[in-house]
Amino acid sequence: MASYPSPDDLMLGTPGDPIELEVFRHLFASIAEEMGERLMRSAFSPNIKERRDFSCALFDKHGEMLAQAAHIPVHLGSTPMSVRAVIEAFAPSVMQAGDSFVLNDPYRGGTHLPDITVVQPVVLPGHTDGPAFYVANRAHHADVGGIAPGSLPISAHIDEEGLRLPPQRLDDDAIDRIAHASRTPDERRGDLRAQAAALRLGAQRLAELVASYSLDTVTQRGQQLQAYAQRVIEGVIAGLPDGVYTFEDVLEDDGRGNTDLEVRCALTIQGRRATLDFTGSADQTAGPVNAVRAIVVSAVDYCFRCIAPTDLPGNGGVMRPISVVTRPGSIVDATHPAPVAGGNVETSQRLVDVVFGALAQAAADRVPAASAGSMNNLTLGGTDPRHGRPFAYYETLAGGAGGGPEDTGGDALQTHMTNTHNTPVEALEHAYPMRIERYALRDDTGRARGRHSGGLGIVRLYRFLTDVQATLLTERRVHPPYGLAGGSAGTVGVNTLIHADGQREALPGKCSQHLPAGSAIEIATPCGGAWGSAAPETPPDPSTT
Amino acid sequence: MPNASPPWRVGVDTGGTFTDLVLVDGDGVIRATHKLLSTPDDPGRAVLEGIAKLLGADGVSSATLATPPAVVHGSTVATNALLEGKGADAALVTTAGFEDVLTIARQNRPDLYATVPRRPPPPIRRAMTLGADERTAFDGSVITPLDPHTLDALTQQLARLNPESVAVCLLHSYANPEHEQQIAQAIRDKLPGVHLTLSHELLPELREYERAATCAANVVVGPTMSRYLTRLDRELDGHHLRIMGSGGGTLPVGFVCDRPIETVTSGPAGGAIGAWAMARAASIDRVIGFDMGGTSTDVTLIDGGPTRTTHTTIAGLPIRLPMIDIHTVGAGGGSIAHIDVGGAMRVGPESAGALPGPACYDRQRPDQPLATVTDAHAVLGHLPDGRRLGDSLVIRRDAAVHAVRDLAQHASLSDEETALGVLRIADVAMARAVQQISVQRGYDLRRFTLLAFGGAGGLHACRLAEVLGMTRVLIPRHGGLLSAVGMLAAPPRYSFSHAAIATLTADASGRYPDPLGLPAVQHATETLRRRGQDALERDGVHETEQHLGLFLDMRYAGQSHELSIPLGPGDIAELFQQEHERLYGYAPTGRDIETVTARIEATGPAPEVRSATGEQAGIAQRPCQRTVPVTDRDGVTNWPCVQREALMPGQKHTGPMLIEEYAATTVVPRGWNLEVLADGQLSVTR
Repeated sequence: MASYPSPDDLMLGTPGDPIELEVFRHLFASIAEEMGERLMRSAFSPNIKERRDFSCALFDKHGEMLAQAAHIPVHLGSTPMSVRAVIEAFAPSVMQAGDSFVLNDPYRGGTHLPDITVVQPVVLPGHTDGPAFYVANRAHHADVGGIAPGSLPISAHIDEEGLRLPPQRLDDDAIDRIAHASRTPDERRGDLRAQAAALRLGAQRLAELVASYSLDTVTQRGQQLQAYAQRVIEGVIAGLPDGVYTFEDVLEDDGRGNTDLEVRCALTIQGRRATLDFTGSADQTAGPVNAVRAIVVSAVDYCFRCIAPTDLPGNGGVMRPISVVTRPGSIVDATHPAPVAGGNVETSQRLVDVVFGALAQAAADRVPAASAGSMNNLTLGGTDPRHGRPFAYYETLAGGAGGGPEDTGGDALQTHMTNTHNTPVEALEHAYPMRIERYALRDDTGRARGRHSGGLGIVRLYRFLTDVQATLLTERRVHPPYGLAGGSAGTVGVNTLIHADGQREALPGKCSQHLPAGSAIEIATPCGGAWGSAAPETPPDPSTT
Repeated sequence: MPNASPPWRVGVDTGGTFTDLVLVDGDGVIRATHKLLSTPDDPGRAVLEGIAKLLGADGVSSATLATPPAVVHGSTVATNALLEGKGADAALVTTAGFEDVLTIARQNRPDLYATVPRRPPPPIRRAMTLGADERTAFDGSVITPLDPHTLDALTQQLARLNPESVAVCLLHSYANPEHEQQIAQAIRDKLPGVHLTLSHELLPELREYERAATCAANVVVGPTMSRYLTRLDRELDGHHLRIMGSGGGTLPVGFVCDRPIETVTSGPAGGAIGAWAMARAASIDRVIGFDMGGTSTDVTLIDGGPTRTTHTTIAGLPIRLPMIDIHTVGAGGGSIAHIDVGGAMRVGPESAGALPGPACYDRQRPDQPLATVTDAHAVLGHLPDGRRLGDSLVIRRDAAVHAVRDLAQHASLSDEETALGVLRIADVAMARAVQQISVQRGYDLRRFTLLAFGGAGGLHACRLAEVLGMTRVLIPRHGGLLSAVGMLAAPPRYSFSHAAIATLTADASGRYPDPLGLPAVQHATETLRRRGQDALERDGVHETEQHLGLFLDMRYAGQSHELSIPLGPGDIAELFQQEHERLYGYAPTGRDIETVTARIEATGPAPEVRSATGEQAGIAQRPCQRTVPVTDRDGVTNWPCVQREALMPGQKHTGPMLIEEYAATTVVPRGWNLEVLADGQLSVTR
């Protein structure tokens, strides 16, 4: 944008002015949105462009988020930790305009290795005391090395999951290093450049905003917007009855023989504050379903945002009235060298389930039954016979949403911590040596019944035209998503290997296999739980009849 | 043509509330205008009534009309059928195994933080969807042939479903349409007369959901539109009828009956063409069209002509046909301001609409005052107490103050501060919409003029321009019915696309081959050129007046978004690289380039439309200037207030001032200067 109204416009600018709050909500959101638009348009990989598995955000000089382009909830609480990791690793006083930093280390500001975060300081001309703001984006890279194509392996150690990047400068060397580690180096270079270019744009916009309004004003408005989000969430908490509400659910297995790993939330509501204690969760485990603490914070942030009575700016104020307690070494606060590939995608969904399960006891009229509870991750890799180059492909599949107090759950939706698009069948078949033979809703008999039924999952069948290494990271294959208020539970997902001769073989929720050309995998995703006891006659869901 | 002079013409824009009509003579001079209430139960009634009224206007006699004037019409019939879910009971045929394509969509949810997320229900019910046992691969090769038994079973099932219309969308049909053609033939044999849309004809492009959704929308609105247009055409006996298309051109009735979805944004497209006509009359190339009405605001970018997009969404459905790129934001004169639970002031998206309308229209219940954007204007004096708007409304400032005071008390601000704040928020929200279609796409707004129209456009234009860093505003005449004006300025225009899938590999020196040398691209462009020429010839456009613009959508291998590059002299691959560099700041060297889709825009000559000069319009100088108290950031001062009709070409004034016309007001703040152009348009600069 060329310019903003003169500072004279700010005669109404008393602290917390209701007009200024709304004006700056628009101004900050607009910058985040423009960065997102730029990244989506200029990125190389279908993963960012088609599936939109990325997010962009602005931060104040302390690393508190000011706005996030609404893309992926699991990035909400975790991107700020990336920015703080950069601030800790590099003295802000030496940062200069144009610097770029990169990281994906789950133990230092990241979540899992494919999610690469790029951070840039916004150093204003003439200011010598370090950055006034930061801009950051996080994008899912389809391959960062490791033992399986797609870098979401059934790993036993973080080092098997790919290249780990502690906070470091994003220079040509770093880009080369990342590209070199990846099975698809060209994509990595294109995507990383696109991430950096989008941030430069964001930094420029923030500098323009300061030029129009003064640094003090922009800084102050950022703080006031955080206070605003805090007030709204405090109001939500104050409206809940004081007490302790606990809920537990399990991760079915870690892919390495350990089953029914407990995820437990004890929610304490006291006045305007909430404490969510996850220390009762299982110890970190051998397989890749460990989550780092950032993911817990994201899940809690998301759940409170959902039950807030108004849409809130994506900023740090939401979490101020909320304490999150985790135990280092547990499955929801993993420490080195625990494998974490699935923590971001699977454990994050279970975290939402337990937070909502606890909240439902305090706010039965606002909380839905459990949704699919799995991102149904499939990664594939091999050599494309059409041109002899390696390929790596990743996608997540929609499932059924849980029914809620006021509405039935929708079919075939990305729920809770993700909101990626699918890769169109036609685009996928152009780009990769495989064929989709079926992409449909699951049979209606899987629909959870209740006053508000759950949504249906989907079935997607992949036929491989070349030998592939296929890895599945899925959950809710044993225990279905729960129902609430008397509604029935949802339906579990089913993974099936179909051999070239048509013979079907059940696959576990998590596995990695080498499959020959001509074989196929069919994934049926879970259906959401229902809300409320069934009325005598449940009317058919209008979206499917 | 029986007579030598070109015929008079009528533009008719049927909107949700009003039907607007404009009559131009053979030279394109606006001779009469009329506005009447729309008749949603039978939109044609208002059209016919309005035309009768226009032809009876002063200065229009049967003597001047050797033949009944031609009519160009845009309506909301197609849009409403989609938005209200009142379209036809249509059927969809897909590849077996993909029948749920409309329900699954792209898997994402529209509202990230809805506790119970849902997408709108698909336009075609699942029970009306049939799968055909067939399969074509990405390269057009047939994997599962379509056998006669499958066809028989399919058409029998369809006959039992008895649909009003049928869409056929098979996987990869853009690469090989054979199976869609076979199914079409079988359907035509078994269900003669059914409205049929084939995806390889309507939208021969990759991405099955978007293609199916576009086709579904077409067949859902098809029967309703066909009935409406066929009847209107009959009732307009003797008038030649053409329909305004969303792409900014006019289309014949028969064509629209087949492809009604091409008219889904005809009204706003008319507005954009009208804005472009007014800009050209003022010798301006780059404008932002800013059409602010009661419930929403449409913005569009014009850079040497309107810009188009293939990413329009209507009623939650992607419509991937090229349409004028119009961005709508839910902020208008009726948008309601309130303080939310966190203490921030919000403006909209709720609107007071036409009823009860803003508080100052004095139709609200006094115990439930709703402060709207229009009320903020009344409080500040932009709409002075007692001001008449149109035929029936009179502004009551005390009612506006009463409504705003409620809000002011919540916000602990004065009435005037609150009103200024409401306008500031509305301006910032609208600025965001303008930025989305301009700055976010690489345009520099400082080189653009803000062309404001619609009932509230002139009230906001200068302040909005300030927020956006723009220095010039243009206020056209006939701003209240610019869509109808635009329909008369629109050329015949067709857009077609064709798959053109090929790969360009750079040689050792980094040079790419000419894509036009590749068979797939060659075939696509030749097919398109023929189609464009045929369509224009049927409209009677002579070869020398045909403009055929060919484009090739290209991307780097591995990307999934394309850039549309005009085909002309010069190195096409290099043009693509330059455009990529311009938009994204980098262009990798040596990477394969893929061509995906070829497009044609086939256009005939655009008729000229202009405002009558002062004399022709019978304008007399009326020195009825008065002053009114207006509040701005500096407090209350008396502003001159003049009637638009009293402004003569060449006159110059300095802000602040108010300019009032029949149903609109233009605010010229301090620091802005006004000049009246030769054709009566107002050029306001700072």
